[in-house]
Amino acid sequence: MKGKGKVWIFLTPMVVLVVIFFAIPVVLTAILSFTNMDYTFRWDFIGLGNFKDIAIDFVIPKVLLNTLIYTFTTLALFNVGCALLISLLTTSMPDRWGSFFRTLWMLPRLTPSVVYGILWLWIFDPTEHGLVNFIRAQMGMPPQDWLHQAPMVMIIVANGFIGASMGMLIFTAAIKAIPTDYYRAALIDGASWWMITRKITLPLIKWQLLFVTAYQTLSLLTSFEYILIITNGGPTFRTEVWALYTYHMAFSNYRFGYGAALSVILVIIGIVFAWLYLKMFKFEDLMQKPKVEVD
Amino acid sequence: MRLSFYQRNADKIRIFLFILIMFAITSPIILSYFWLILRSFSVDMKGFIPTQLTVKNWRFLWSEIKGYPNIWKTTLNTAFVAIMVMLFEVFMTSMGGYALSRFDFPGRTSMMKFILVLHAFPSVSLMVAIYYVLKYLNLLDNLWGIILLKASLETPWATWVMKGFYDGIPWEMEWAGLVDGYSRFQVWRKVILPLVKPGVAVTAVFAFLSGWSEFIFINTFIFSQEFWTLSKYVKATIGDFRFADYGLLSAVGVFYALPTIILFFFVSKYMIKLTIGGVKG
Amino acid sequence: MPTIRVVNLKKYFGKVKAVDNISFEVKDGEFVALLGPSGCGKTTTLLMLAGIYKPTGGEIWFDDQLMNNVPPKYREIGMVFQNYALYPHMTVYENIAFPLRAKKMEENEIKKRVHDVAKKLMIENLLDRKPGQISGGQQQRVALARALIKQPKVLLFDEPLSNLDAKLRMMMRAEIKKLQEDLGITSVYVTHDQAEAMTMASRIVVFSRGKIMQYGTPDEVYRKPKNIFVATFIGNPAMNLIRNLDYIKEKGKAFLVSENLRLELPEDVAKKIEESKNSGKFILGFRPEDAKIDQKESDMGFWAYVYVLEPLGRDLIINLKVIGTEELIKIFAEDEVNIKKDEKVFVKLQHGKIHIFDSETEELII
Repeated sequence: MKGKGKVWIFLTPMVVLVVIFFAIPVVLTAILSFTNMDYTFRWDFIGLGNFKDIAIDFVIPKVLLNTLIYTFTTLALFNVGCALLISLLTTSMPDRWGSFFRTLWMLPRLTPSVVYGILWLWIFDPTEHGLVNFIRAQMGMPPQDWLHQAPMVMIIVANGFIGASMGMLIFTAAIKAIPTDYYRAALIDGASWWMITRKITLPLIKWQLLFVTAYQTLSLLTSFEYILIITNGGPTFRTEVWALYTYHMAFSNYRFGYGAALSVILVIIGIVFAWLYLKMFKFEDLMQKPKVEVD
Repeated sequence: MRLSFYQRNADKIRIFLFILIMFAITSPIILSYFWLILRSFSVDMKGFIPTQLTVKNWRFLWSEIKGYPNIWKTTLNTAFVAIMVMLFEVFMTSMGGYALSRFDFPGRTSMMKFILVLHAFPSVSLMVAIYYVLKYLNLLDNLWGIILLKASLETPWATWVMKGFYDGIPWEMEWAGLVDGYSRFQVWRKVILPLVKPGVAVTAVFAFLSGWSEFIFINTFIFSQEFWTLSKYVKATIGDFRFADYGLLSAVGVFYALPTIILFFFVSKYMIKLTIGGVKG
Repeated sequence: MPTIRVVNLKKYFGKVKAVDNISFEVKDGEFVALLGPSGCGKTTTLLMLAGIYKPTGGEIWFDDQLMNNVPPKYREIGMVFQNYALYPHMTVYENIAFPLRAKKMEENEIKKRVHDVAKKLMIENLLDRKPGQISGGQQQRVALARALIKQPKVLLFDEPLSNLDAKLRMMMRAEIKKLQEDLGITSVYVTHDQAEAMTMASRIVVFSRGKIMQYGTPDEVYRKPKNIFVATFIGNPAMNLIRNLDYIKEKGKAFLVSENLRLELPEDVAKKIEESKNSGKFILGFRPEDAKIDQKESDMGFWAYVYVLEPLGRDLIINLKVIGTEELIKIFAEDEVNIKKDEKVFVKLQHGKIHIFDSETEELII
């Protein structure tokens, strides 16, 4: 075997840290889920006790429903829907304009999450200082308390404006990779923009559509950072999603064992999805053998 | 052949329409950032018009807010985390990426698959266990814990990205170096590494940004005010001043977001590479 | 079928003048080739004819209709692309039917037309396949079918044969020519391959750096190149040039001379030179097949050393170094000529087969 020794000089730093903070926690999560560890950090094995609790936890059905609504609405409207719309529109205009808009849509992703949170708290402010209520006031409508009226809408929109950017980047790159001659040929053949989009662009980026859908489903299922900042799951569990509930159980209520059990379910979902990616998308193409056999 | 005005100008009309639609759906972003900056310099605002300009909102820079740590100390903590995360990541990925790109060793393919799995894997679901690991290593309420954690969670994917940059370097370079009598390690140091500088730069900037912006881990694993970073600081101001003082809130927010927004314009075009690497259908 | 007229056409990309003030005409039913090296503006010109690019200035006329602002779909053109631009996710049938679907034609009519054109191009058995599953030559035919199906009045070709191997290219060359003659569709054909242009087109527009160097029949551009560019671009091997010559008269006889070379000119040539406006410096040009090798000196020619021999099977190319200059020339010779490297030989030129260009303008004098 070649390069066996030297290659580890290059890989060891990475491998050590990944084992400590990635591999061990995965195993640990599984083990912890069978304990009822709390802030005293005692190892009390209770078998499947936590999972029995999950089954009868009266908040869980609400959390489950929230998670599904939040994940799939955001996915359909923003992470795939809006992303696709932006890519299609911005690639059909002069590139100066196109990249201007795409750059703006990248902004939320790179803004620190807490600052981004401030923006949406302002947009949905219950007084006339907030953007939505300000616009309503211009039309003679009274201000609304959005946090109580429509908290789910708040977190979906706030997450959506961040989530759209990944799909946007991938779809745009895919569309730009389509040979220009296809479009020229279609134009000469008299096809309209809509026909070109439907018959040429969309079929040619269907792998990317599938990839983004699969990838973002998992991201959304496990994300909670912006919800934590904007509504913190409230009011009264109305925006409490699975990942956030896990977090609250572990770090607000210090029920580490129970939190771990809730996590295990996410971990399993994560592993299933990751396995699916490997099957669905031909990553092998990216892994050609090196062309040097010297150590 | 007579063409109507619409037939002749269908292109221009459509583009105009698309730009309008894009402005409409992008307006929340444009308006809210515009508001944020303007608000930080205003006493109060009527819609988008400041009633009176002021710098009082920025008072946190020169006088401490009661119950809050010193802003400069907090900024220093933030920069410390960001820079250390950056150094760790650059160090590990420039080596790891080279190994994956250029060495043939048993387990190479499985390692790369494993990295892709890790990337898809939701690290937040591991927080309970990570809490325990940090506690065990005595790194709770310690910025080093955050740094190591952050770096190791991001390194696998960043390594994959670096591998992409290494892959782009022609094999002939490597061959020439070896023929000229250098060892692999020397070839990497003297020939290859200088050639992937753009990759290193991009990795560094993104690592810095992610360290600078970190919130969840700070919020969970840091308790003492002396170790606060700006994300915790801003989160606290949201809790305390949200209804009382939007001016202060937005000023703190602008102060915190400024470096990221400046860097953002340098790196936005590389974003695609980092988000997706070379995934093809 | 329309006559295409291009008048003072310009296309600038920022500061780059891709097409710089060109004019030419393609007659009803004619087959014209746009020939030039890559980046000379020929494809840009074609894309303007197609309506994909909008001209920066000038006019494009199809008969008496100004086309500048007419979108491609109303131009009634068919186009074949270099890489065929067949949609990879559609079957051959769907590819060919695509232009008709854009017109929202009835399904029965589409079916009939697709089969007709497929039959004509001998691709009927491929209709269910995807472009990725058929060979390059077959893809070429599908691309042609797609261009022809809407019965266009103008056909545009953008280097359609350059992705095929040499043998197939020769075959398709003849086939496209035949097809065009049968259908009588006004055609413009972009290529960088002079053999294609010479064999297929009735007239050739020779391009260089966005400008037209010459517009004429294949015979004209070969026999009477208007300038050095055309002279050296067309013909393989290229026309031989001997540069930096002065014109002198001694004892009633005319010569082109350089330091160590002296070439006597026939009277008619001398007269043309004297009548022309010139810079006083000249370039002599002659084709490799228009010179002969001899052992003894005769009236028009010069001495040279044999430099390298390149046998081609049927022909032999002799590379020679002209004595007294640094110029290298190539000459076709019959195989049986028995000469050796470094031998000194006399290169004999033929009356009426030499070209003289002005050194400064590089334009043809005779």
